[in-house]
Amino acid sequence: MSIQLPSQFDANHIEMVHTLLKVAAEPDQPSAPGRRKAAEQAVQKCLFVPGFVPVVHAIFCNTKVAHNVRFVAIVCAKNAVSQHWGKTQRRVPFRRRGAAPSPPAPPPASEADKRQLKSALLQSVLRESDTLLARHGALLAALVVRAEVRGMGRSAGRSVGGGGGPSQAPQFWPDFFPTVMDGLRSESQDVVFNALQILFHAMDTFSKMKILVHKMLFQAQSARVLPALQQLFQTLASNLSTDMLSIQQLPGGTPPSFAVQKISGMRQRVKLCLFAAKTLRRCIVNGYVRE
Amino acid sequence: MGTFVSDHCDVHQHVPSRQLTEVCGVYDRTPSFAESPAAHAYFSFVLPMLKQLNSSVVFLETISAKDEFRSVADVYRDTEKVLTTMAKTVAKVRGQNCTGLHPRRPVCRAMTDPDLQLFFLEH
Repeated sequence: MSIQLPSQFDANHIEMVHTLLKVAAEPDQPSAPGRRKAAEQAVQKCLFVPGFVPVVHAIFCNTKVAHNVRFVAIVCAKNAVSQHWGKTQRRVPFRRRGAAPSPPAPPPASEADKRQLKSALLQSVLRESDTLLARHGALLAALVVRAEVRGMGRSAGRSVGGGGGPSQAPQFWPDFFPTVMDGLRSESQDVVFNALQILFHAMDTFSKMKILVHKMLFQAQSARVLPALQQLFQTLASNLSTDMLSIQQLPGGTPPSFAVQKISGMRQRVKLCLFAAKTLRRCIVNGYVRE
Repeated sequence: MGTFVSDHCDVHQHVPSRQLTEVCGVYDRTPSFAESPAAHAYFSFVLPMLKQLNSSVVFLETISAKDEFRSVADVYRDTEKVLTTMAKTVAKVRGQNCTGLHPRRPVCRAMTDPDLQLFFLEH
């Protein structure tokens, strides 16, 4: 059983991709054995087809779609970005002597796809109310950051080598930090939590990059992010500590259930504080290296 | 009249902290963060906060050990992770070698070490 796929996806294919993801996400039906496997194989082939990532992102953004289908959509986007986006077209394919010719590599991801995803991804993840989907959205954003940094590493290297510095290096994804910082200042705790998640995963991925140019870019970004992040961490940790102290000083004879209820209500805020502390650690430890 | 703490837990008991043993690694780097403008604000906040959070973690650990308070175990774990992360950062910035120290030693050290106090006063 084979599924016919278009050579390029656009908005007209959302319904078709949705059906494909739905079949791939659900258990195999006894009436149609092998249908799920065929759908999975088709999805695998789609990862390299131009226009696929914006289409799966559109499905992810649609809150009326079933949760498991949205989950498969964001996982597909992550796979496509991690396997495909950092690649550049090899001019002469490497071939070991005597080995059979390898199949041609898929073409690099189109700039239009990248632009389309980058323009809509952050807002969709910031607004996401489901914790699991928000986490995977944040991981997708981190993968895009890594691909972008790798993509611009060569041009930044020229600028650093040419007497410039990381501060003069071209910006990757210019909207990334302003959008995330706006999210951190939001009134909604969910938006702040998602923004911190995105920032943590992005800085975590970025801080692990080993090439000198990437490290210099990370240092430049760390210095920009650190003051706002430190301010946020101080506010979160102070509030947390004050509330914790007030629970410890509850008068004797207070019913334990009251204290437990108050502590359980702090769950989300402790997680926020943890993300801020971990991001701060990445920025301090990897953003300031020994001279 | 006692407090909630003295009614329900003993904060003076020794509470080993597994996560803090992770701090016991060799940190031989001397990052330039200590000389950066952000360092003063960070450390003047982090030192007292380590002390406060340490007491909260002890409180939460004792409380979550009781059967009726099991539901706060995840809050305890996350609070301890916050404390550990802060302690690790301080240790790393100081280039501290914590091998073989008591599990709680790095946090205690961050609070009581006179050299460290002086270091922070100077900044």
